[in-house]
Amino acid sequence: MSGQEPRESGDTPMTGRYVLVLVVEAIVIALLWILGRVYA
Amino acid sequence: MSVIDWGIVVVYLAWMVADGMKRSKATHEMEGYFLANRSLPWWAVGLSVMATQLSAITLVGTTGQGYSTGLRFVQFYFGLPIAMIILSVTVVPFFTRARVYTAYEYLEQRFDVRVRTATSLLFLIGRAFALGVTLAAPAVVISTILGWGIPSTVLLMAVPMVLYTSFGGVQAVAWTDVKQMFVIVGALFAAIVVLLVGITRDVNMSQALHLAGATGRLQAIDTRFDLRETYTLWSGLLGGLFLSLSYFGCDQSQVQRYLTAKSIDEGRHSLLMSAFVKIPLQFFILLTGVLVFVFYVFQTPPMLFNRVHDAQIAAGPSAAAYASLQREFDEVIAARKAAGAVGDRAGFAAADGKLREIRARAVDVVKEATGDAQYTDVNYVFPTFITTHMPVGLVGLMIAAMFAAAMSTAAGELSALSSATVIDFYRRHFVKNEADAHYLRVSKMATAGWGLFACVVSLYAANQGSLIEVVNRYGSFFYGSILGVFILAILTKRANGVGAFWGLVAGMAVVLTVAFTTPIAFLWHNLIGAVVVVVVGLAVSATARSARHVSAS
Repeated sequence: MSGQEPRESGDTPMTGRYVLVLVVEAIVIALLWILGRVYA
Repeated sequence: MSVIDWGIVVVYLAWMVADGMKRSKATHEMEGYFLANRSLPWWAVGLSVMATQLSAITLVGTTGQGYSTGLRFVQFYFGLPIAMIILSVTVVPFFTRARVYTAYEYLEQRFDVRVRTATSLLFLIGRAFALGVTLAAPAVVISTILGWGIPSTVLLMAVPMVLYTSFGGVQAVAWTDVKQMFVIVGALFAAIVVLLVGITRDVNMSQALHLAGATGRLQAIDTRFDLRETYTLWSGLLGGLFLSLSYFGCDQSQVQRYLTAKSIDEGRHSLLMSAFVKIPLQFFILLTGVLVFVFYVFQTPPMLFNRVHDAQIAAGPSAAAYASLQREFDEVIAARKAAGAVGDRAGFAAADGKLREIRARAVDVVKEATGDAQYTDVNYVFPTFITTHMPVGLVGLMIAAMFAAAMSTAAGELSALSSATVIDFYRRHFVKNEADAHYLRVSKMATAGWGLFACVVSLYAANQGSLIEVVNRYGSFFYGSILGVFILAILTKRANGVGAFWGLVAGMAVVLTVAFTTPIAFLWHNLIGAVVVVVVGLAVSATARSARHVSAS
């Protein structure tokens, strides 16, 4: 059991971090699109 | 290469092998050998996952793609961050709590032994071929640079790698990966600095980007919805999502990594590291290829970067045609350079288009003269730049980084192949109740055996088109269908073992049919495979349930 407890306590929701991943990806895609437009 | 460069390569390789072998002290049991006793911190697991991806294939193939087609390949990774979120919520807690050694072990808990065995077998086939390609990429590079044969280069790379993976297990793999990550990024940074210094002797950065833009190489986003186009926004977001879900969620070479993490959260953090970093990192690698293109606007490039066939062509019946192409090439190169120097975008783009055409014709001449129908030039672009334009010391660093990155990536795949072979087949089907030490011995032998197999495959893969695509094409034959089985296992309660098995068979059949009989791009194969498995799996499960009800009543 002692091996199991830290695993369960190390299981926390990370919703904020997931949203941040999506926001960062959207920004990166937008920047790539702008780069293509600027130098097209 | 100079003595200094050789010295850097030798010292680096010796350090990697010594560091990997050192880890064998902590691998006296199966859990230590295959899962590092579930003790690694998230940053080590995350860097290891990223180093596996940032292999020699990435350096050679992706920079080559950047040179020839520009940034569009970056779209391939658009599904990855979304996949990492989905996996963090679903399979990471599932697998960690199930305390399994392999992802496929869980399928027996959920379905039956037949489904576990079938998926593990598909993994073994797909990953073993991919491992061959992982070895082939740096072998192509190093054999060109050193003038060695590909077989001896493969052996030089594979023997030490198999040695330390066999003894050190997944701990050796993970910790050498961490070091590789820093070395590769450092070497790449050095290459970018050399390129910028070289380019800005002739034009400023803004002019350089305008030249690249004039040829469409900075056009990273393609919003067209065309199933025949390999890299578009939609194939990246959807096909790439399914490929990433399959690769990181169902491929033992990745699952094994986050099973080594200390906790569920540490496993999640390791995946989210890739979610944040992967796309920007790939962008910079592709940009390196684009910068190589701009560099060669003002430094005369060879007509073909792979020069090994020159002598053969010069002595053969195609010599006159090839020499004529070379003259035409020299004229257009001069015209492109002149247009680039005065900022004539239209003239520059027209000359570049002509050059592409001449290169394509030159490739055809090589194919005809050598009988090598798979000949491609793209993988020789970056290595040629490294060996002809980078300063002493940095050449050694780049070569060492490629060499060791390939070994490190291949080592992870070897460890995964060994774990699936021993856990899902040997211990499950053949020898069930032996001592831990026996399975550890067999695991080391399995590692060596797969290493040998990969060497044979690499000799074939070295002659295939763009290497990075070869890896992904091999994977796409299997990944989507395996993902479909895991979707049935984790996200539905209605599916049963019979449905999952026949769904898998149907998914594989459809993907192979689509791959060989339609022009649909390979990224979509993952989506198609997963959907067919889920639909057929649920239908067969329902039918099997009805049949049981009927026979019971």
